[in-house]
Amino acid sequence: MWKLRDIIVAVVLSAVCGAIYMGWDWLYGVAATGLNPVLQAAFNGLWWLAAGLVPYIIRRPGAALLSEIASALFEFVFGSPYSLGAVLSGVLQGLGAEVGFALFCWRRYHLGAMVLSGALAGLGYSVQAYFQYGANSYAPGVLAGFVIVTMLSGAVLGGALPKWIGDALYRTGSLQNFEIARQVRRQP
Amino acid sequence: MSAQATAPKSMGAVPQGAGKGRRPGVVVSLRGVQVRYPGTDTPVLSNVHFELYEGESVLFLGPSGSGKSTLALLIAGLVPGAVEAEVSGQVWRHPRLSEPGGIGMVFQDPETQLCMLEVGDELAFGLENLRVPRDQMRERVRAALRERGLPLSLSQPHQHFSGGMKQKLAMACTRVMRPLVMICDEPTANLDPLASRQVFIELARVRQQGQTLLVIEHRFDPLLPFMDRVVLLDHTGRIHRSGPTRQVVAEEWEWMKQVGIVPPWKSPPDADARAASGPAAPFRAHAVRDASGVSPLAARSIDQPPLDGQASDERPRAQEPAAVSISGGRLAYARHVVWDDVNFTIPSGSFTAIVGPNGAGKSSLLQAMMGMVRLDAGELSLLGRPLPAWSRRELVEAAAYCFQNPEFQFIFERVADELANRAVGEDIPEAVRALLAEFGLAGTERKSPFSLSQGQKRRLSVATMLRQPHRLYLLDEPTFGQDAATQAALLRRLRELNQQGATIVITTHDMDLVRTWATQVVVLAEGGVLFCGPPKGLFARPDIMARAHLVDDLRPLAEISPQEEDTGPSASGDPSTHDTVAQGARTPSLLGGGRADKLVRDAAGCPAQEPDARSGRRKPLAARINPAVQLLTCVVSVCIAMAVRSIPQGLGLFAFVLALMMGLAWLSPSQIVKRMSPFLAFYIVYVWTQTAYARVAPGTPTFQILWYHLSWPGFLSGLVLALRMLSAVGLGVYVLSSVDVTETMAAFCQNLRVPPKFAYGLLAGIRYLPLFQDEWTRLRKARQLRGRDAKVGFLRPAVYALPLLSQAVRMAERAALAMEARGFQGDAAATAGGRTYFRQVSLTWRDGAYAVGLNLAIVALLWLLRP
Repeated sequence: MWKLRDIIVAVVLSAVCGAIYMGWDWLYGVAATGLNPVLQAAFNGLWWLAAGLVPYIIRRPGAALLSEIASALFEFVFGSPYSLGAVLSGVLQGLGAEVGFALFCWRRYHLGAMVLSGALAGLGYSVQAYFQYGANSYAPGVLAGFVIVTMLSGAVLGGALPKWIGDALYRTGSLQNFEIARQVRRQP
Repeated sequence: MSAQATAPKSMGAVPQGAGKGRRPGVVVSLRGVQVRYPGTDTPVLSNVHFELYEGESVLFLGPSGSGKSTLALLIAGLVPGAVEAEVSGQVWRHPRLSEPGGIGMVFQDPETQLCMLEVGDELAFGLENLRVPRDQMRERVRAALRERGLPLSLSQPHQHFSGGMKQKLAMACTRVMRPLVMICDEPTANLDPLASRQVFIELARVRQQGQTLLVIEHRFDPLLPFMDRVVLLDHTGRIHRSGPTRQVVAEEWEWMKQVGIVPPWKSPPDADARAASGPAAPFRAHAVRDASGVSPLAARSIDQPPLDGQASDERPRAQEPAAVSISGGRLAYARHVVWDDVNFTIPSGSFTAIVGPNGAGKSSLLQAMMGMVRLDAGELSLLGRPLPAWSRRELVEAAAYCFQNPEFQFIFERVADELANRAVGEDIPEAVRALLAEFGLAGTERKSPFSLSQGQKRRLSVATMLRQPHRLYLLDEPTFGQDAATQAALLRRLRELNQQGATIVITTHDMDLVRTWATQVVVLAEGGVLFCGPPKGLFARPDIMARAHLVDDLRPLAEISPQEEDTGPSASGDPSTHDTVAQGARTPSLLGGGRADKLVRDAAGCPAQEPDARSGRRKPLAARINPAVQLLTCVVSVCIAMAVRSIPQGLGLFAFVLALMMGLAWLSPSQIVKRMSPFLAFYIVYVWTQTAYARVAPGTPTFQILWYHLSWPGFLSGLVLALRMLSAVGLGVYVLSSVDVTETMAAFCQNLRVPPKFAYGLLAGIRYLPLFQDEWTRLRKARQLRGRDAKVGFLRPAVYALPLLSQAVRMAERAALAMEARGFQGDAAATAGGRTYFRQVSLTWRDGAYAVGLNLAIVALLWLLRP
C-alpha cells in the first residue's frame, strides 16, 4: 500500500532526477555530437535513474513506472529539448523497469534485480528510439550495437548506480520510515 | 525477530483504555504510555500519565530528544499510523479528535506545512478533507482570513511570503477547520525575532478565543502568561513534573538549566522581567554552570562569560591589524541592493555578533569576508591584507567558516573520516578519538555524519573547523536550532578560542546571546550598518533595536506596538525573497538559474503581478478545455507525430502546432519564438547524427570529411526528425501555456478518478523545486571552501548527492505528516469521491470532441501530406 510519504518522497526524488535528466539532455547535446550512435547509447542509462532509485527506496508495485513518468514530466517542465517526447520516454522506460521488478514479485531488490530492471528499461527506450529518434534508419549492425549498449548503460547507470546512491542514503539514517529500512529490519 | 512479531499488531492498533472514572471535559487521557520507534532500542516516551481538558492551554518543555514532539503526535493521533511506532499503555482520545479536523497542527518548518500554491486553495484544503460542501467553502475561507486579520486575496500565491506570514497562514489553515485541540510544535523555530513575535501574538489571540491549545516551544518567555499548565519532560521521555505554569517554572528553574531546557546564563522569567525595567538591567554577571558535561576541556578555563566590552579592552592590540575591515562595501543582486556603504572594523581578538532582520544580508556579509560573495563596490581587508591579495589556500588556513546547515560541510561518509579529513580506515587515530570525546561524540566514529542528531551534527562541524588552529572564525547562526546544552557547550568553546587570541564573528538572532557573549555587535538593517559598538550601547538605543527588528524576548506581549504587527502585502515583498531569487539568477545552478522557480509559477498559472486577474480576464480557448484532457490529448498527439516520415509532413505538422499556439492559446509570435529558440540549436545535433550515420541504399553518393560519410538522404531524414521534435516542443509550450497546475490536479481527481493522494502528493512535491535550487546554491558555496578535497571527491555521493537527497527525504516526510494532520487521510486521500473540491473542474462533451477532433485533424494532415 502506498503511503502519502512514499508518494511525496517519490515525487521529490523524481523532481531531482528530472533536473538531472535535463542537465544530461544538454550535456548529451554537446558531448555526444558526432559520436557513433553505439557510443551515444552509452549515455542513455542515466535517463532512467529515477526508475531505479525510487523503487529501491519505497519498494512498491508501480514505483518504477510512476516515478519515471513523474521525473520525465519534470524534465519536460524544466525545458527539455525533447519536450513531450520525454514524457513518452518516461512511460516506455518506466514500463521496462517495472517489468524487471515484477519478475521478482516486487519483493527483492538486490543487485541482480536492479541491473535487470535497468537493462529492461533500456529495451523500453530502444523501442522509442527506433520509432521516434531515427534508430530505424541505422545500419543493422549499428542498431544491434545501439540496443545492446543502451541496455548495458541502463544496467549500470539505471540499475547499479541508483542502488549505490540508495544504500548511501540509507546509511544517513533518513530512510528509517521507508520500506528499504523495514526490509533490513525484518532480516535477522 | 521481535520486530517482525510485533510490527503488524502495533501498527494502527492503539490500545484503547476503557476510560472509567474519567472526569468531564477530558479530551485526551494517557495512562502509563510507552512509545518506541522501530529500529531503536530505547523508548522515546516512558510511563507517561497525562490528561488534557477542553479549554485549557498546556506548554510542553523538555531537552531535545525528550519526546515532546512524539507526545504531541500521539495526542494528534498521528502516532502510530502516519508515523510507525509501538505504543503500549492506555490511550484514550475524545471521539471527535479522531474525526478529520478534530486536531489542528502547526509545525515548525513554514516551508513544509503548506501544500498548495495559492492562499485560497491552501485554506480550503482542510475543508475539502472534511467534505464541506463547495458552496460553503468560499465563505468559510474568507471568514478565516478576516478573523486572523490577514489581508490576502484568495488567488495570491504564497510561495514568496515571509516565514512569519507562512506560519500565520498555517495557523489560519488549522483554525478554519474549527479543531477541538490545536497543537503547535515549535512554530517559531525557523523565524527571526520579529516574526516569532507575530506568531506569539497570534497564539495569544487564539488562546483568548478559547481554543484548547498545546504548545511546544523553547523560546517560551512571552507565552508564559497565556499557558495554564506546564509539562516538563526529561531526556528519557518521562514526565518530570506537571503543574501550574508560574509555580512549576519558578520551582524547577534550576532543573531546567541542568537538563538544558534553558541556557545556563539565563535568569528565571520573573526576575528578568523585573530586572529588565531597570536601566542597567541587561548586564548582569551570570554564573555559567557546566550543564551538559559535554566538554570538560571547555569548562576548565571559563566559568564566567565576560562582561560586555571588557575582553577587547583588556588586552592592548594597537599593533595588531584589524581582523576584518570593510569600507564602502556594497552588495547588489540584479536590481536589488542588499546593502550599501558598509563601513566597520572588527578588532582582532573580539567576539563580534552581526544581527539584523531576515533578509538584511547578514550571511552574505559573512560570506563576503571569506571571499565567497564578491562585493560590487568597496574594499575588504582581512587581518590587515586586502582580500584579493589572499590565495584561496592561505585564506582557508587563516580563517574558518561554518555554514548554518552543518550537513553542507560533510564530505565523508563516516564521522571519523570527516574529522580527520581523509579516509582513515579501521584504525582511528588517537587524536581523532580525543577530539570526538571532547565534543561529546565518542562512539559515533563509524556512523554517517548525516545520521547524527542536530546537536551532534553542529558539534561535529565545529570540531572539523577546530582541527587546525585559525586566526579568524566565521560562523553563520551557530546556535540555530540547537538545544540549550549544545548552545552552551559551543559558546564556551568559542569563548576559549577567543581568549587564546582568535577573532570570532557570528551572525545570530539571539539577543540574549549577544548580551551575554559578544564584545562587539554590528547591526545590519535597512541596507546598511545602523550600529557598530559594544552591546551595552545597542541595548541603550531602543530606536535602533526597533528599526532592525531586534526584539527583546523578555518583553511581555502586552507591550506590542501596532507597527510591529506587520501583515499583509508587504510580506510578499520581503527582501529575503528577492535575495534568494536574485542569487539563483546570478549563479548558474542545477535547475538553470531562477528558472525552475519561474517555471513553477508560470506552470501554476499564477500571474504574480495581478493576483485577481484570473477571474476577470477572458480566458483563451485552450485554457477553457479541461486541463487533464488537454495534457493527455497532447501526449497522444506527440505519439501520432512519430508517424511523420517526410519533410512536407514535418512542415505541415509544425505549421498546425503554430496555429494551435496562436489561435487557441493566444500566444504572440514573439512569445513563441522566445520559448522555442533554445531548442533549435539542439536539433542540429540530430541532423548531424542522421547525416553521418543513416543507413543508405548502396550507390548513394556520400561526401567524405575526416572519417564521416555524409549523405544527402541522411541529412533529409535528420531534418524530418528535427521537425518532428520541434512539433513536440510546440505542443509542450501549448500545454504549459494553457493549463494551471492546481486545476490539472483537481481535474485528475474529479474527472479521471485518480486517488487524491497521488495528485496532491505530486502537487506538494512540485512546491519544493525552488527550495532545491537555493539549497544547491548554498551547497556549492560550502563545497568551494573544502577546496581540493571536495573537488577530488566528486565521485563520492556524500559530496553532492547525500546532503541534498537526505534533506529532500526529510522535507517530504514532514510535508506528508503535515498533510495528514490536516485530515488528508483515509477516504479523503484514497478515493476521489472521499472529499469535496474547492475548484470545480467540469468535463463536458466539448472536451471529448476537442480531444478527438485535434488528433483526427493531425492524422488527416499527415495522411494528406503522405509521401
